[in-house]
Amino acid sequence: MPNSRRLKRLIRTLLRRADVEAEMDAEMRQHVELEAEELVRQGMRPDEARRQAALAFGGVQQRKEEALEDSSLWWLDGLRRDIRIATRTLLRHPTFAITATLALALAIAVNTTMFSVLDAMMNPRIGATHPEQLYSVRHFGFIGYRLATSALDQALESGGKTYSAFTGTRGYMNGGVVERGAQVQQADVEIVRPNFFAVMGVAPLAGTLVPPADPVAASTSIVISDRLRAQLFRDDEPTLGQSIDIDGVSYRIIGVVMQYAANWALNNDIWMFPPVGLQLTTGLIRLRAGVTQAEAERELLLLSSRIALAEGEKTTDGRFALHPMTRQFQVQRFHWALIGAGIAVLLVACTNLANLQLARGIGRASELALRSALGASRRQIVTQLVIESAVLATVALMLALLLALGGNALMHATIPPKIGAYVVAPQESWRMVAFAAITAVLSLMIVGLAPAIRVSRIDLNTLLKNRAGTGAHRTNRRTYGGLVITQIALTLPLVCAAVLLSRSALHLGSATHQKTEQYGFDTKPLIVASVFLPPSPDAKVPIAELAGTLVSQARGVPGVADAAVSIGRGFLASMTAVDDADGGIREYPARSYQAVSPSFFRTMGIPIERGHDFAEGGHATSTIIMDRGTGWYLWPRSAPIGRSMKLGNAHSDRPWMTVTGILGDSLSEDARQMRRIIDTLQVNQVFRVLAVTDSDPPSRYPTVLNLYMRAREDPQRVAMLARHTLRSVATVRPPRVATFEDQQGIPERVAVLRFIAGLFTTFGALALGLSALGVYGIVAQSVSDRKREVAVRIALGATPRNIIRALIREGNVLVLAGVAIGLYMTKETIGWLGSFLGDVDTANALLFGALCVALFCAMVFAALVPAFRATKLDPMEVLRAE
Amino acid sequence: MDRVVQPRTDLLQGSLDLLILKSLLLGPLHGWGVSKRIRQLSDEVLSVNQGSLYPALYRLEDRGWIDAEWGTSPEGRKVKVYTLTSAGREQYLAEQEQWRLFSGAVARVLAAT
Repeated sequence: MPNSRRLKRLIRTLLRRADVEAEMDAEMRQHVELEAEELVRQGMRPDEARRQAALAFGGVQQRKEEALEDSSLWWLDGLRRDIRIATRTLLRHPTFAITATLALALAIAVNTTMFSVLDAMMNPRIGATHPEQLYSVRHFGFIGYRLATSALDQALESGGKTYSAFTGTRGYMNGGVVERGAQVQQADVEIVRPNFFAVMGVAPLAGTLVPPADPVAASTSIVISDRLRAQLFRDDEPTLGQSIDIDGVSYRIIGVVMQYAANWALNNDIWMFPPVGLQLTTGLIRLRAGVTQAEAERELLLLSSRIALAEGEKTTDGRFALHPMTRQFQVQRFHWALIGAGIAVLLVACTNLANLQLARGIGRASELALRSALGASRRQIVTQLVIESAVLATVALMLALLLALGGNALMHATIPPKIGAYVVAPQESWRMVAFAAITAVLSLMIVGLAPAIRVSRIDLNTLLKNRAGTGAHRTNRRTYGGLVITQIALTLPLVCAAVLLSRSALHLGSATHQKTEQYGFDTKPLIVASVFLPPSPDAKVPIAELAGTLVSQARGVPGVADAAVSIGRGFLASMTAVDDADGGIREYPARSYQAVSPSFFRTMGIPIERGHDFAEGGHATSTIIMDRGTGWYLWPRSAPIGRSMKLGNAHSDRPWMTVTGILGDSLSEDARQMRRIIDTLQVNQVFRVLAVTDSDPPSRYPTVLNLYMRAREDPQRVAMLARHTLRSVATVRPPRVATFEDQQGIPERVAVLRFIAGLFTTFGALALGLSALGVYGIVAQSVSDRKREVAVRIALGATPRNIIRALIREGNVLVLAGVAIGLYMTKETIGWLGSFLGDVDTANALLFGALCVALFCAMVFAALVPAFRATKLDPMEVLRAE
Repeated sequence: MDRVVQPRTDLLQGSLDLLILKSLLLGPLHGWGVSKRIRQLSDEVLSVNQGSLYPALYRLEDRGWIDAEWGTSPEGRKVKVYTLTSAGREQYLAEQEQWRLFSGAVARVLAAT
């Protein structure tokens, strides 16, 4: 109660000080009046009574101040006054105030947004109730392979003491092709048990997340993500009950759910419910409240032992391992790079402002000395300077939070879908605000406290020396110097990272990259159809015949220039036998080869470097074509053309076949050099023509054939036409048709890289801008400190060139030192970006040299602006002002 | 004015609070009323240093021992009236006990021969 009363009073005094003072005033004046009346009653004359009463009371103003000082709020009042003074001082230098606030706000905002991203990864908010109770469960051990997964699932399904529910999921190939009307796109699909969403505790955005009880109806029902809904449907279009095609099969949408990048099970576009009998691969359990992972694992270990025992195995054979769903992220070196980049920007901003504060503080030395002479203690002076910085930091913090919210929104809008393993969209939370506040306080320490203490040490003597222009500034300049070096050393790695990543993104996204660096053939016009042939449990599957039908069907699609089928096959006994130039036979390990239509290389656009292509129609079953590397590997000392090889070991009954062609490629010389090392170590690509006799053994599973098509026009359009034409082929399900690049996920990789490059470009640009600003500020300050010296020089006949040289000479050394340290830091840290740098040469001396020169020039330019202004000084005016 | 006893400040700190609490124990009063009641009750011996009165009143209010409210006096003036709270009553009893101990001890020291 007393505390709340005091708090009320405190707030009232702070917010309505005038009212509080007026009340005190009224009360005290009344006291004097009442006292005077009393004296009159005792017989004193009214005017004398008033005088006596006033004398006895003392000055009302003085008493008021005493009362205020005596209250526990006195320090607050002092603080209020200090803040008012600080604000006024800052407003008198608006350019400094705005620059400083903006720089600090930007740096804090960048860090806060990065923090929100990492926070979203470490503490994902995934829209599930009590996500910390959700664990994925996997069985390790021999018995798991022997038993059908369903046996383990059934064991888990019965529930336990430590967990309340079990569900399962399974990935759906490499995503599906979704079609709605004319819209076609790739989507991530997850197959989940009907109780999946109930166990996850996820609520629908619309519709229901529980499939119909009828298994047939359930297997054609899907739940889609809000993201896919936004992509496929207009805002005003109904979604529920609508149908979309996934790989040619029609599904009905029963519900919409929020997609969460931070959780693999919820980071999908479509959730399907499995047809009867389909096994799911990943188990999920929900632990009961208060149960720890170790407790659950103990119970599951018992369960695993029981299963093993029932199967006659050792009880120690297997175990279930749990992994918390909320912690799917591993902090990688890339994340350190991200954190490091953010901190570097902040440090650049802080050293910058510390510099400016120091320079300003020294510039204000006379004012501070005056205060000191008037009795202000060193503590009071430091307090005043720190409060000035605190006001800056507070305004910057508010602005930073707004900017961070904007940054978060921007990231949400631009983040590509397949980036989940590295970065997710940021999330707002109290932690974000706390982080921003802590960052602001830390910045305040660097920006405010250090320079304030430094400035407060200035004694009158130094000040007088400064005035005399004796060069006492040299010590101060040394301090600035250290700060400049730090800034530049921090900026260079960021600029290098930004440039290298942008280069890598440009490379990967360039029209010729796949052709000259990656695949060695032009991937753009290619279309791939995965065709699912019906299972044939009793008879052999006549593959060659089916392939022929498919190829002729595909060739009939408008816009298709050529088509071919390719099927993976295995070497017998995982060996290949080859004849030697001296008549001997050697064996090499070999895993798989491709049986292809004769038109395969023409379709793919892969050139034959030596020898000749497969003959069309002839079904030349005894010829082989291989890549260059395999040729080198198998026949290091002679040309492979004309040599014989078996697609099995030497003793197998596989026929001897003749190598008739060596594949070429359109790789660049660099890429070819890089490949040479890897490609000549093993059997890579071996092709033979699909023979009439090619067939698959009877199987309960569908056979998958890959049909490649070469488009004459827009591949996306041709892919759509092909999708419709190929539906008529007797297959289990409609074929999955996509452009080669979509199938390989190339556009997504490009998008991810562009995004990462964008992030680091932002960091680099900020750091560069702030550093330039810092250098500008310091030279400007130096010019104003040395005005007198410059004026004397000009008066003595110094040319503008002399003046500029004198002003920026010291700076050059500093920048060079910064660049040297920066280069070392770049070398040490650039590897953190790992695979994002792709095939960009991270030791490209020319590029780094160019970057250093560019940075140096930027800094010199920043220094030139104020230096040039100094040459325009009028010596008469300056000296008169002294 | 020789009847005015100027108490020493260190003594005042403790005793002024006690005197204010005692005067308000007898009924709500405004600031001047408090100083007048103390004067009356002490037979004009104690006169509160007017400069200390208001800081003390605000301090006691801060601590929650007295309440203050603007009201109207019988003469129709707008005055700030102070009332003792229940916490203040307890505080009075505690301080009174302490004062008794203290003054008794001082008296015993002075009575010693």
